[in-house]
Amino acid sequence: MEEKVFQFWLHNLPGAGDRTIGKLLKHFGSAKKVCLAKPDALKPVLKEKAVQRILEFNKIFDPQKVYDKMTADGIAFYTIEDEKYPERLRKLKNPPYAVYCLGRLPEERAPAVAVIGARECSGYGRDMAKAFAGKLARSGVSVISGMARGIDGLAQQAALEEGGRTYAVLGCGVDVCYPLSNRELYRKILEEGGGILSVFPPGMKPSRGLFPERNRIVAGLSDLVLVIEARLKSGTCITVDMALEQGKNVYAVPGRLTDRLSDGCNLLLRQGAGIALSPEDFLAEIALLGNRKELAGSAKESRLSEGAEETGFEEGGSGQETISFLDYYPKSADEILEDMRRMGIAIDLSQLRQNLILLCMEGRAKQTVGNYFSRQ
Amino acid sequence: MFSRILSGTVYGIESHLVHVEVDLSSGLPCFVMVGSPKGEVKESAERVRIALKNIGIVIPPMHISVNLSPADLQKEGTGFDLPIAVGVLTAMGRLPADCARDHLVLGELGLNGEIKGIRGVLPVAVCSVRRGVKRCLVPGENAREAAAAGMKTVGVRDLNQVIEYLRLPVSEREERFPHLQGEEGEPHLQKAPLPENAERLDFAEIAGQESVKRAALIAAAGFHHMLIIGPPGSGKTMIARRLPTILPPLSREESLEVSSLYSIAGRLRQGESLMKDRPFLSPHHTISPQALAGGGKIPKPGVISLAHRGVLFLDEMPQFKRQTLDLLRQPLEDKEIQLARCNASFTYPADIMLVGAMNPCPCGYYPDLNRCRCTPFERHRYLSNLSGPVLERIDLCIEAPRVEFSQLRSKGTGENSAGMRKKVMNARRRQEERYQGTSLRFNSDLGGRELERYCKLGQEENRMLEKMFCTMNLSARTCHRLLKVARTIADLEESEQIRCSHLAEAVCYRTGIWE
Repeated sequence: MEEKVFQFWLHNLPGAGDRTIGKLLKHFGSAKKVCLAKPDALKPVLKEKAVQRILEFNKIFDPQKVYDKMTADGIAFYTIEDEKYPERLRKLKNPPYAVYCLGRLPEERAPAVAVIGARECSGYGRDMAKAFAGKLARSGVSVISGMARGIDGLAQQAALEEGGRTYAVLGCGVDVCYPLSNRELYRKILEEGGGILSVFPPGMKPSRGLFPERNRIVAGLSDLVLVIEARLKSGTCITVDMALEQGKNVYAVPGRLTDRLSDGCNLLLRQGAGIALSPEDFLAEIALLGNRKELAGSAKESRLSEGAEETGFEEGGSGQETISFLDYYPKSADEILEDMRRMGIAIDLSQLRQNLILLCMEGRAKQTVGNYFSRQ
Repeated sequence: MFSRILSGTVYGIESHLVHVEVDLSSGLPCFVMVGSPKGEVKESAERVRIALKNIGIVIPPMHISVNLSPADLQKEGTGFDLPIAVGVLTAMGRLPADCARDHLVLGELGLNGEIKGIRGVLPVAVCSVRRGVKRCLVPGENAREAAAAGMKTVGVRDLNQVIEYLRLPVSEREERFPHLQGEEGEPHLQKAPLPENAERLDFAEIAGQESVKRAALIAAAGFHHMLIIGPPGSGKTMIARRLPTILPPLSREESLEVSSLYSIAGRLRQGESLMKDRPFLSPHHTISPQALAGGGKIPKPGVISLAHRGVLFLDEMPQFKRQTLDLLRQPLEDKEIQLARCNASFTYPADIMLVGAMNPCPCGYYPDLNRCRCTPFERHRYLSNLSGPVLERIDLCIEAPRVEFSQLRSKGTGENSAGMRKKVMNARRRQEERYQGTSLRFNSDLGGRELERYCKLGQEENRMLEKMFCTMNLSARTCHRLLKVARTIADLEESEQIRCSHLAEAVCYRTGIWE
């Protein structure tokens, strides 16, 4: 068996984290020596129980067979001793011993930005994620994220739509698609030349405890972290903390003070995070930060609110008026009516409904549920 | 020594007249009862014997036979006590023969001779009036029920009173025992609405919630089933409770129908003759399937039948067991419920307006993302408790937004129930005229083919519907429901043509967006 297989065995040992693996390697010199060591020889490093566990494990686990199957499935296995091991991870304080990768590893020379945010996002968050990630991808920046529901997945989706590269870091084995609702995205990332990465062995099911480590890797693989939307004390905030620990720059998209989903972002801004005002502006900042590659397409600035440009609303003059009372958050027709009346616009509920439905059919508004409407 | 007294019983919800025949003959002293009596009817022998003894009449030691004819009909209830007692007294010669001729006699006896109220007096009285028997002796408690059916009624409190009454010559009876009599004529032929109880509930009390009130108005006008979705405290229950106040008042004919059901279920309030308000039933979500549909060997009407011609309100709809909700499918379609038992199949009326209320998600605040933190999966699981087939029969779905403090203080400036009812009745009148000569009554009854006929769209409207169909992912079924609702909206607006604005409003009420 070659050394790689022994390393694979070592990484699969039950109960052995990066720290234990480090200790074993320091004591024995190589994975092969650890594997072939007599139980007695292990004792100085490991506790009695751990040694027992290894013996049990060896009875049921055939590393060569599992490794061969994994390779046949196209999953690559890189340890820190490999040359191909991502440089960005190597620079971390506690680099993971190994990463598994389906598809490609992120390009070392291309700048990488982590685009992250809430799973339950608002329409505003959705639009921002798409705008920023799309623009980044078009300019040749790798978009790194966790392929979660909400912002993460949407950002990666947008990156793919713009023909860019995106890499997903999972909190489970790379062959496990989690969440299942993103299976289309999972397939597309691989098809379009991106990569699915994980520090957990294939077949590992997602569980709560694995996500902080996943978040650390997301931050670790990127040069810069962009937060689109986050609540206070959310998983996104954990990723940000880790990025800051790693010395990465953090940017946040500002939101309104009344939106709980923007509280995390606004707090970051208060604490001194970079302000992501527009994708172009943001790209320019990355270039200024001395990133490795000249960034293209950062010349022309555009306003993010261009979606609200007029497109000639024929039926009744109040269509345009109506849309100005809509928001990125779903508002009930009653609320809109109340707001309009407060502004002195005389309109009744059925007229308003008709306007809203027409706006929806034109694709300028969205009907969240029956009586609730938001800006598209 | 033979006597025959007229009485009656209820079988399911049908009422039948029953002849109680009593014969005293020499032989081994005993009290034999034949003619398919159920348990409580058999026991009446004991009550009659002791009640007679306690008012000082001793039954001679003879062979007493009682036959309840028609003998093959199963007899239920405690109403046979009094006719049996009268029969025995007549057969003994203590009462003149034929003293109770042309009288319907009903009542339960206490051991001391008092007469207690029973269930089902109203339907039996109605049946008896139709057969030409127009006088009755009933327990005082039930006197108003019998009178409401159009009978010359004597309400009696104890057995002595009955004996006194029956001993009087016919000509003197009315003087001593003034008859309680209902309105002239046969009430089941009258259509005029009944005066209602003084209403305490009113839509004017509801602050804000204009769109929900509007939806309630439409639902009432077209008798559409309705679902209200909203966060806790948004007034869903308040609105549902006020729905009967905008439905047209009960006509006498309807009232008699509903009151009979309540009389059988023993739920007619004491001293009340006919129900004046439309029923509003709000069963708790732990209700058993039998209680909802009607249960028993000879089934008692369930909640769904008691809500006949009224509103059945299911609060916290996803909390109901799926199995229970699924029961509603057939009755919602057929407007009656068929209960098959081994001995017979029973059909009870169930023409109800179903109103459901629920939270939009487990926490109750979706789509307000500032408060709601439910995942799509959690939301989906919550909604999936609702049975699809039942949801499919609901034409109108409305979201009740959270009420702001400012609205709460503004003490309801909206329309009151009286104004809304007027609009409903106008719309109903239009429907009545349009569907004259057909089996249809309301817009909600329209089927696929009828839609083509009664919901014709102009060119512009057709274009709009087509566009909505494409951009909003409507299904054919949603489209049908949408047209029905648009028809009702047009009726409310007094327009024979369905216009674009009606369609636009109707599309906001679709349930599909939640399914």
